Amino acid sequence: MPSKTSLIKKQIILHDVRQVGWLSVLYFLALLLILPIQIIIQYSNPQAQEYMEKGNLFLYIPEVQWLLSITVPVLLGILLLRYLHKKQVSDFIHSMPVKRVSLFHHHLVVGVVLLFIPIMLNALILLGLQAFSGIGFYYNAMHVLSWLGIMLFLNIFMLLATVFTGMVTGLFSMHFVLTYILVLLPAGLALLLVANMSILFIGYPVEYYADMAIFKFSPISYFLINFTPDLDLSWIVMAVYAAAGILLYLAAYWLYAHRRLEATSQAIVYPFMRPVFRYGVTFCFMMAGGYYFHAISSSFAWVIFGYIAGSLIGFVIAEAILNKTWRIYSNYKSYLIFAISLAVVLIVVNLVKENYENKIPSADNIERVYFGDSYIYTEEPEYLEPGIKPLFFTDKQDIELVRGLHEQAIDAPRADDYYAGDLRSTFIVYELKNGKKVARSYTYSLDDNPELKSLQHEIEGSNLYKYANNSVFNIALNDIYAVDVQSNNIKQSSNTITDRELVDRLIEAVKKDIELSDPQESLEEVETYSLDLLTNKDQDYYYVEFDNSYRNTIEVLQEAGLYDELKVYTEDISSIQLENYERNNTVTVEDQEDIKHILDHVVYYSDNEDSYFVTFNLNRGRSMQDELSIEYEDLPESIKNQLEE
Amino acid sequence: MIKAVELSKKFDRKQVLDQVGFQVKKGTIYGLLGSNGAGKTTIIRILAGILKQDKGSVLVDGKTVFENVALKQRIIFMPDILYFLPQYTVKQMGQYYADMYANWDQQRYDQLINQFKLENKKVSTFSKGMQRQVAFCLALAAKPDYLIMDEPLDGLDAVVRQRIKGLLINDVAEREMTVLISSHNLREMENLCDDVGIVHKGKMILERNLDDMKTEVQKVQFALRKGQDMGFLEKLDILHQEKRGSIHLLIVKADHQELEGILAAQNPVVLDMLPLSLEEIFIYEMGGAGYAIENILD
Repeated sequence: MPSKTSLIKKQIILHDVRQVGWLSVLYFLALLLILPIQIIIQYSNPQAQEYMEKGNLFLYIPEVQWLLSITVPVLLGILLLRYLHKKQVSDFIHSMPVKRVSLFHHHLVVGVVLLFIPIMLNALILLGLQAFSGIGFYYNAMHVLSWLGIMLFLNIFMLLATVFTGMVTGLFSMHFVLTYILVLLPAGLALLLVANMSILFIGYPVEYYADMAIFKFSPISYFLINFTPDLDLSWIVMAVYAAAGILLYLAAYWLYAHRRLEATSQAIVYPFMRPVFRYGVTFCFMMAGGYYFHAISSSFAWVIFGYIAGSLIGFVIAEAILNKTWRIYSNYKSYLIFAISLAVVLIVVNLVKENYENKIPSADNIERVYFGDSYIYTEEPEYLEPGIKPLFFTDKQDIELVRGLHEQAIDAPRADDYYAGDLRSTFIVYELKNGKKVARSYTYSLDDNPELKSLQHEIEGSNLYKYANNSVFNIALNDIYAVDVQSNNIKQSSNTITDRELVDRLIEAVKKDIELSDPQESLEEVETYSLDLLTNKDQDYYYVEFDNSYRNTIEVLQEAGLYDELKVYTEDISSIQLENYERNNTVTVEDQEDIKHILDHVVYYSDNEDSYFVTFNLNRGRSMQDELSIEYEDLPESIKNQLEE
Repeated sequence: MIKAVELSKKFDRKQVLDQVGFQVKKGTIYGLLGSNGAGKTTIIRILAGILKQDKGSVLVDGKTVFENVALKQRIIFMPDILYFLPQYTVKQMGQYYADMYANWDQQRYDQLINQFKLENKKVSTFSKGMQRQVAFCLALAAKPDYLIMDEPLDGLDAVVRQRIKGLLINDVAEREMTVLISSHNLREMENLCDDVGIVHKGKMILERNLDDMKTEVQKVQFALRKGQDMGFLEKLDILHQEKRGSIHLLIVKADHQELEGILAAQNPVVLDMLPLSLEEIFIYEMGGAGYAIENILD
């Protein structure tokens, strides 16, 4: 008997639209408010208009645009596929003379269209506004088209992910959870792995791998970062997402064709996926548990406890979800399997641990070495902060120096954040001649290890290190049009030098002083000055702090007659007020000897109970109200006596 | 014709159907009997193309139902717990079915709706019994060749039940529609089915034609004179025997006339051939096989 019904079932579409059409309407209205209406309101208000930026459409509350894009398609997908997750509905629909393939495509297409319409309509309105009003000044047609493309891309990707998880689960409530787990999983898993590697392996450079763009592993995080006015999407990442989207589509399609409808209301429909879910959840909770205890205690025993507790919690949750009951003790064998495999992994980790931790490439194989106290391992200017340059050692001697420091760092006790002392974070990337890289990072204290200390200082004392870490070496002289000379404490003094010749000399001098500076000697605490280098490039300004040890700089300032304005002389001070709030003690010092003594011993804020707040009253220039203190024992004897009375 | 051969199905590790086989001839009504959880619903869901069996086959007109659109066009499945699209009215449900089933007869639908005096309201606002009537209207208006129903007569009052039975029998007679009904109630099936199959714990334990059964098994009561020889009883295939005073009650596997002839030859004081209910036949016949049918069916 020839079928007179067509392939396109109008009633299925109608039913879908009746059920979820409202979501599309709300989506349209939300986007309408965020974009066209907001733009019109801003534009029609002359004051707001002044602050309106030109650029793409992610200028307008991008967070909400992002939030809508990752929730609306998911909600839509969940509602469209709800029929799969209720036995009665599932039986009803699947007894109809329609193939699953056809059902699948009906719902998918309705979903895509319901996402397409609100986005497209808004794009059309934006194009209309752009073409027929002065608003066109703030964005152009290309901006609208790229907004349209990106929004559709993300929305459809999220829909496909939702459709996929809808096929995997038989539970309405799990559908939501699983969708976000799926989309965030690659990034989350990578992050947890990297974090845990850093617990297990000393020297494991978290930043290095974290910067290998873990956020790109999930479109949720990737677009959160990229929904910005300076939107910069990588074609490669987009291609990977597109491929993932196609895979999700194909997998969903295949799974639907093989879906056993009797498993409706099971958390995971396909039995072969249940172990994946069970052990996946257990594994993630284990890593999260270990990392949590590492963060709060840093003792390895607690980390192990964290692993065990985390994995148990994860296992119980996974089992409870799979069996839809908390009575899961019967399946303890599965946990044993996990525990045993984990023990094997830990044994393997221990075997490779020593090798990994002690690995220092031999000098002959090294092309060059990146060395930094933070992770700025890139040479692409767009990722570099202005004035900052990564430091690479290519000289054999320098490389040996780094290797030597590396060797010491391996054995240095791990320093923790709360560990006080002369802490250093060191980041090393060896670029080998065979193209491979070895990256490590360490945090240690220089106080405990004289050898490490001297190596550290030797590196920090090298000109290359100083060039890389002081912005003054990394900006073109021509870009600096003026220098502000300022006194940092006690006295308010600021002079702007615009004289070209003087600017050049000053910068020459300060460069020379930096070259001469000894990393073992830190700057003075109170009597410091700074140069603000004003550039016409990027409207950035750079900052050099110095003190009286910068002889060349001081000399140039003296010659220019500026030094006296910076320097606080004893005779500039009319009196000093000493206060201790705890003891309710106040003393005014006017004796020149005492003033000189205090000036020599004043420090920058002390929270010591015995210390006194110091306020300078100047007779020349304006004083700066800073939190300066002096320790009781540093006070002149006469003052001590006075205070005792 | 529906033909199931060695149908087996597991839900996770639980064997729900174990090599079930049966046959439903064209234009007949087949009753699938069994207690709750026996596997009736699973058989029906496989027949409706919702589930796929693990082993064995079920063929309708020689073809598998699963994902077979042309065949499913001719099959209507009515579940035990009815489902209607949310917020849909009687009319809208009709439109939905019309889009799905090529044979949809709108005139018949309107006529049936009128006949049951159903208003065009949201189906979800109707009582259970009225919803069942809507389901029958939808099913019959789609003019299926096969109507597969899971416990369809539950919760209907006697008048409506009778009316629906009438409609079913009418369609079977007029259009040679084939009907499969599952039930846990033997009495309900008595005047409706041509054949019945009893499913218990996933197995088909008995399949019978009801007319055959009724002619095969007889119930009779008789009284003989005192001291008369009872030896003739040994020749009979007696399923059950009872004595109340001087009255003997027998349930015998035999032809009606033959049995009457044998008994009449003994010149009994009393001889009554009694009507036998389906339930009694099952109980007595299966009693020998060691199955407690009473427990299987409620």
